Amino acid sequence: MSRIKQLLKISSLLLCLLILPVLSFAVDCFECHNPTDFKGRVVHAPVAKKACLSCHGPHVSRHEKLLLGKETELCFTCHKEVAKTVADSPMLHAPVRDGQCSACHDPHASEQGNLLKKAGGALCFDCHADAQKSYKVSHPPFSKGQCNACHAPHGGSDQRLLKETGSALCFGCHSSTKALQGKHLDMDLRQVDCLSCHHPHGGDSRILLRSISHKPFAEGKCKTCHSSTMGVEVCLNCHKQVLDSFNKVHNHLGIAGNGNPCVACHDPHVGDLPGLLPANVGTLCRDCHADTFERREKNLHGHGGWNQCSDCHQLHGSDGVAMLINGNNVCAECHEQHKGFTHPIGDDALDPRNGQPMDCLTCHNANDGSMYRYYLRGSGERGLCVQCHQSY
Amino acid sequence: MLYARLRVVAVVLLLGLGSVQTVGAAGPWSYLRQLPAADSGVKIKLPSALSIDSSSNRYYVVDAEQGQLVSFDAEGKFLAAFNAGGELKAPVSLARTSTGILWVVNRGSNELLYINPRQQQVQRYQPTYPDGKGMTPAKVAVDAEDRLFVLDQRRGAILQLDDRLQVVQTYAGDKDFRGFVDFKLKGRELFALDGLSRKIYRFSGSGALAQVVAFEGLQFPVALEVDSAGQFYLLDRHAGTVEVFGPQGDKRFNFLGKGKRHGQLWYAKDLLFDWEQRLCIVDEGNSRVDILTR
Repeated sequence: MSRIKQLLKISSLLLCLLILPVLSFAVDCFECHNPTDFKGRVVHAPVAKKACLSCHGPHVSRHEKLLLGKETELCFTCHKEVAKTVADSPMLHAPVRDGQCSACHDPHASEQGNLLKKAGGALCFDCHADAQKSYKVSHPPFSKGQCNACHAPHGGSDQRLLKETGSALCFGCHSSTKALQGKHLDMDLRQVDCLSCHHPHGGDSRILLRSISHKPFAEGKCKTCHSSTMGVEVCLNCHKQVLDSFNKVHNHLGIAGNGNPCVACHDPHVGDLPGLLPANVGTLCRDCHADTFERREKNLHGHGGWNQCSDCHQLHGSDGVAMLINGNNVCAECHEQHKGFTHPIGDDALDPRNGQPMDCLTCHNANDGSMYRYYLRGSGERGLCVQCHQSY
Repeated sequence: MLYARLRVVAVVLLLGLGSVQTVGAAGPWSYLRQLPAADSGVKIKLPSALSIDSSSNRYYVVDAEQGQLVSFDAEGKFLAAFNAGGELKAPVSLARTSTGILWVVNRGSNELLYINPRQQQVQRYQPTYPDGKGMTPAKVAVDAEDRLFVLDQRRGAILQLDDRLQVVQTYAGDKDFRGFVDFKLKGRELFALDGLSRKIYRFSGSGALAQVVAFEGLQFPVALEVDSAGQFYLLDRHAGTVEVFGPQGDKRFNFLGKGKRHGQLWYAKDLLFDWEQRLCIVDEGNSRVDILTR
């Protein structure tokens, strides 16, 4: 009898050992965490199943929010189709690149589809405020905040993150009719880039043409430029005086091989800015200077408005090392007041490393940015200064 | 004690005071000297190109900002500065023939200058294509037979010109060609760098395209050299490095880095092997020419 009692005791103990952990894992997180914070029209599947431990560790973690892994890696364990898109995309949306899925998505619940934190454009304009403009005529997807009609939110083939390249994007909605072709000199419209002339967000005219037109284009005199030769000479026929601006130690000729270097930057038909340039000049510069943009994106601190390269750089030619406007005195164009309290610069303050006069760019990396405040080239506490002041 | 030693090593590495570190088949490259020497009192403001005279072992540095050609002997001693009677306006390239004639790309006037120093004669030319279209010369070189080669920026091509400056041969790239930024003549062959497409083209003496070598991993290549083993030396202006690739484009090693000390480059522009196969690097940003040996 005592043996039976003993067996019963051991069995009970074993049962407890087996059941207790299960009970502990089944502890309801919502006893502490307010369940209303996890409710919405759309609820993330693990939340709906109360499977909090799918993503979170209950005790400790190396990651914020007690996540089981890095945010992106954790999301990609289930969202494999997104992982493939990201892996296949040459250019990633910054939050994706930085592993911040939760910048756009609420990981628990949302009123929006795909667990987006806000609806359509409202979400995008939180970061892309400069794109939130009103136009006389708006492209319907833009006015409706349907950014993802054209843009792939995770990654794309270039920095615009467009879903398709060239006219294929537009012909997703618009039809390539005979009439449309007739308005484009009967060209094969599959080969054209609609966005070079039409602004995809809006414009002054019904057809959303970019605001500044090349005179021959506006006058319908296509043959002024479209002749047997399409090289740089086509442009020089009218703009010969511009050639002198390239007679500098550094210039931007020689970027198009046998083609016309002018149209590598200037659109020969219409543009957003004088000079028939796009509003976002940096997109042009990135074509050749992708490395500079990549360095900038990795750095914590950068010069404001660095995408407007032409604020500091000459676009045609310069006798300075980095094609800067006004040489290395370019900073004074905006930062005139800094002359009063700067570290000595100029011919009386030679950099001991190379004997050259110091300037703002000796200490500040305005081009690439840096990991230090004011995009200094080292820590302002010491690391920067000891480059020259070794006894510091 | 150990901590102190480690700290010294760290500081030396941080400040870039160590010798240029790389391991190649013929040993590591190391810093030899700079032109002009730091204590010479000679100032070159914007070195844009380098030429050598292998017969007299002299270096000629083109100073674009001060409009002069500055010569140095084999030991780096300053010899003379020459401005062609004030004709040099933003010169960016120089070639010297076996008879001492200088061809200079005078960027400020977009001209090709023929300079005979002995006769103090300067002739100015604006070469054109057979169709009458103009050029914007960027680089100039002469081969062992004193034949003249010019890199034209407007079409990105390299042109061999005859004595009347007529185009006798054109060297251009294939599809995706973005324009040559540098070239070197080696024996009967011409090697040209398409920096934006990250390709090196090798042309035979007849002008036929013999090989296209693609390479990866560079930020902004602007100049090339080719050593006797057929290795390509590519100057990465933005990274401040010299990247070495095998004849088929396989990455071998790299050396130097971005900065202002010796062994560092700050917007360097040109590469050239001298008569003893020492590597000369024209460093615009640091206003000097670094000479490396091994």
